[in-house]
Amino acid sequence: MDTINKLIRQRDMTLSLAALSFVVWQGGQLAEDLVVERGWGGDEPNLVIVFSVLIGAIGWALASFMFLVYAGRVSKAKVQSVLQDELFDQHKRIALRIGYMALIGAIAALLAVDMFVTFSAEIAIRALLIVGISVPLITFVLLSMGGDDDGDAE
Amino acid sequence: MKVSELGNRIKARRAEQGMTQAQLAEAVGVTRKTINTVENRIFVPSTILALKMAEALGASVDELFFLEEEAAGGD
Repeated sequence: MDTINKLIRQRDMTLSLAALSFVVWQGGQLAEDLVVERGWGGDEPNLVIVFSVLIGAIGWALASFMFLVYAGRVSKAKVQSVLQDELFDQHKRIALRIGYMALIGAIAALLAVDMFVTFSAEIAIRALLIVGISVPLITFVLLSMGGDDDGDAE
Repeated sequence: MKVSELGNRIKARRAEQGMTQAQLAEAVGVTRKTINTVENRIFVPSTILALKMAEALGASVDELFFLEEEAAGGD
């Protein structure tokens, strides 16, 4: 069972890295789109934005690689059904439901903002992509990490 | 109006059998955390998992699980 716990920790770490790096990566892209569209910056590229896009993209690539390693280990240990048990299914359902509600909230927020400020469809789509991908991932990790009193010795 | 909650005697039964959560989890094919959350009434298991747990602990499902009724909403 130690293998199972290690794999769960690895899965949670991979999903956390994926969610955070996606926010940094696409958040940087979103900021870049805003700077270009609004004409806020001069001719020089904003180094903070360039750096966050680069770090985020590297993080996302690393998370993808870590996921492949994780999938290989799960397959080798033949514990897929244990890792994807009833509690996993419940956490997945809750994470997707919260992600859906967050997406609806983000659409409503964008519609409200659109009454005062105009922005391109690309910016709106990128903002929705950030919410739609990161919120379910973060919710799943929080659910997976919480609610355990570690009472194994009893 | 009364609300039913699923109570259980898994912890006591495990102690009788000298089983850890990890051993029970392995016996029924779930993670230890699933056993932990069922034991602590955070997660309500399916009928299939309840049957497997009862079998692993040498008990019947109604020995292991029971309904607890609580008054809700000031009724």
